[in-house]
Amino acid sequence: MKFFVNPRSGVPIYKQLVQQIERGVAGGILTPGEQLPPVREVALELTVNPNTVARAYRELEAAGLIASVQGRGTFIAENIDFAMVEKEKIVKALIIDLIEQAQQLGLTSSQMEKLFLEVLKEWQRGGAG
Amino acid sequence: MITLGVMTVVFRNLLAKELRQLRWIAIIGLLLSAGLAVVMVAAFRYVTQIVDELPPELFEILARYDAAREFMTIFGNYSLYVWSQWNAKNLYQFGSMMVIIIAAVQFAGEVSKKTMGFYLTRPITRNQGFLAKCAAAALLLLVVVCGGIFFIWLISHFLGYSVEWGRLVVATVVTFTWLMVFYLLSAIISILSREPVPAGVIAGISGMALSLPGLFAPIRQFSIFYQMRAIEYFIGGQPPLLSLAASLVIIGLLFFIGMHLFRKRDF
Amino acid sequence: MQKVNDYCVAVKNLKKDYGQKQALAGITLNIEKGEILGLVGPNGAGKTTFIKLLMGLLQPTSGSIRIFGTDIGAMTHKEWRNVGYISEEPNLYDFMTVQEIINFNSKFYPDWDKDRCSDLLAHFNLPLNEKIKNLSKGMQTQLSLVLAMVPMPQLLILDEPLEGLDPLRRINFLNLVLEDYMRKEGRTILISSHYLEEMERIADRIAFLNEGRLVRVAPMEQLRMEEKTIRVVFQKEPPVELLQMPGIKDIQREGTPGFLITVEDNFNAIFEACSRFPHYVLDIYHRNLEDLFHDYSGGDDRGV
Repeated sequence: MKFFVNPRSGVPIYKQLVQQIERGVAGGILTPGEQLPPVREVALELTVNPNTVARAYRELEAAGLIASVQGRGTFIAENIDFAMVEKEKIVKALIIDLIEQAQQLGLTSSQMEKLFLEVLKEWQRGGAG
Repeated sequence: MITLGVMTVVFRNLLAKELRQLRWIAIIGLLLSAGLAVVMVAAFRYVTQIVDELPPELFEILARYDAAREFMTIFGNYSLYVWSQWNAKNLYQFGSMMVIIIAAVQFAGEVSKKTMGFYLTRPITRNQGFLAKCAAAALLLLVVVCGGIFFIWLISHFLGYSVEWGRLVVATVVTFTWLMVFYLLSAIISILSREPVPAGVIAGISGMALSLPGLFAPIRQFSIFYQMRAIEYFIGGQPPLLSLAASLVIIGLLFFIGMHLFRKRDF
Repeated sequence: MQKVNDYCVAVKNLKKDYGQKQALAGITLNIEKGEILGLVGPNGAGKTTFIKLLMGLLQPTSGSIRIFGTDIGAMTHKEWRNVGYISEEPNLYDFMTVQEIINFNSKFYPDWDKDRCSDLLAHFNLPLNEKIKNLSKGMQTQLSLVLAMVPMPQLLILDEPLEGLDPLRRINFLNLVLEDYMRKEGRTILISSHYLEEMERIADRIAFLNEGRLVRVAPMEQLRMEEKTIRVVFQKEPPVELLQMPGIKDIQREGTPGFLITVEDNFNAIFEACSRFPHYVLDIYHRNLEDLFHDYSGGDDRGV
């Protein structure tokens, strides 16, 4: 998987890396057991501070998404469930965003619930037909 | 407190760089001294009256010394002629020009070309840097002075003249040490300047100011250029111990003042 | 609490006057061992003065500078071997060839690595027999970098090294610096530059200098996390306490209940408080180093 960073975005570079790897796992680009390039290599590839890359790896390791094996390198964790956990995490963040915006527009919880189920049914029908 | 590390690879490296940088001055100096030696020696046969060649102020002195008249008769005037042309004229004049240029290039020149920042951020101490520059200047001057004497000897030998070499060399040592005094003075002016040309001009003006006592008989010993000629030794026959000692003391003094200024200067 | 001697560079209350003009007005800054510190600020902010003071090229008016725990006035030439430096302007002897300046420089370092030197020269494609006066400014900077990096100094000080390089060469240059930095643990880099995007890439911490003062020193990631602007339009006038929360750097009104709140710290709490109060609009704008640069430079456009 190729990594990208945008130094101008204002989002911390380590966060950009964490998000890319999370999404890579969720999307199946990175498969369990797959080896990640060493910190050094990523740093030179992207021209970023190696401490930043190391921080991204540390954060992902703490979350259990990757595991580093002494002397062998860093790997995507073997447990497949993590992919689902990650997917759910991403969708949850999107839903929170949605709820916040709906709240800003003054919708109540029951209105939101009703609207969500309606749209879901509509989408399923559209998808089926 | 002051560690100079003269015998180290680092110091030799600094010295080599200075000599490399100033080698054109050595080459021009040697060519000039060779040329002057040829002209000087070749001209002697046309000099019927050595006294005509002497600067007017020397008349006065010569008249006072019996020894002077003696030399003229003993050596057929050639030694005196060589001294009057070499120590008392050419060497001190172009030697002074040379030390002014060396000093201007070494300090203000390096500042204006920005290379002082590179020089001083090598892992050296400022004292080492200063000493290397002074040592290089002394070596260059020595090369040109020795070269000059060698050319005079060579051409004199070729044309069959003989000179009182021992005395000429002693007189030249005196000229050399006083030229070093003038070098250190020019170096101090150069350290305090940012551009080499003004540094050289100011050093030249200072030199002229310092030569002023030479115009007045009672205080002429206080002119460094009077001392450079070693008149009292060569004509008067007095051992130049006082002049040498005085020049060495002043060299020591100016060296430490220069080193201190160099250490404290912003570059 | 770290002791002074644990820092790679410890600068205390450093002042520098040029005659009547004050160039540095009391800088206190510690550079940790192993970090890459980016020094940014507008032209004339005092970056080069600061760096020249560290290198001992300028005498401080007052204050102290310690490198590796030793006052720089007392550092031996052996200790200086562990400090590499590239100046803002090319300062190499232009009468020498590339090979000659390498020979000159190598003699100051007993363990000069010839192979490494050749590799680096080849990497930059620097012609060995060319006189330095015939090299472009960019090539001279590259040569300076080679001279500074071959001895593997513990501390590398780079003053505007990216100046005069095109974007591709800047990245190439930084990659080489990073590659060299990773060769040995615990090496420290101080780099000044006004190429802010490049600084965002490589700096662990950023120090903002303006008019001879350190305006802010913070980890790069903290700057990005905390330095944000919130645009909020409240439904009615918010309580004063909300607008006075710690961490708010600046507030601008937009219409009656609208605000642009610039936050430099404590972002989550401030955002929480805003979102709890009834509002119509609540947006976050990320701010990059360039935005911050404008803030800390007093908003004017003196040569970014």
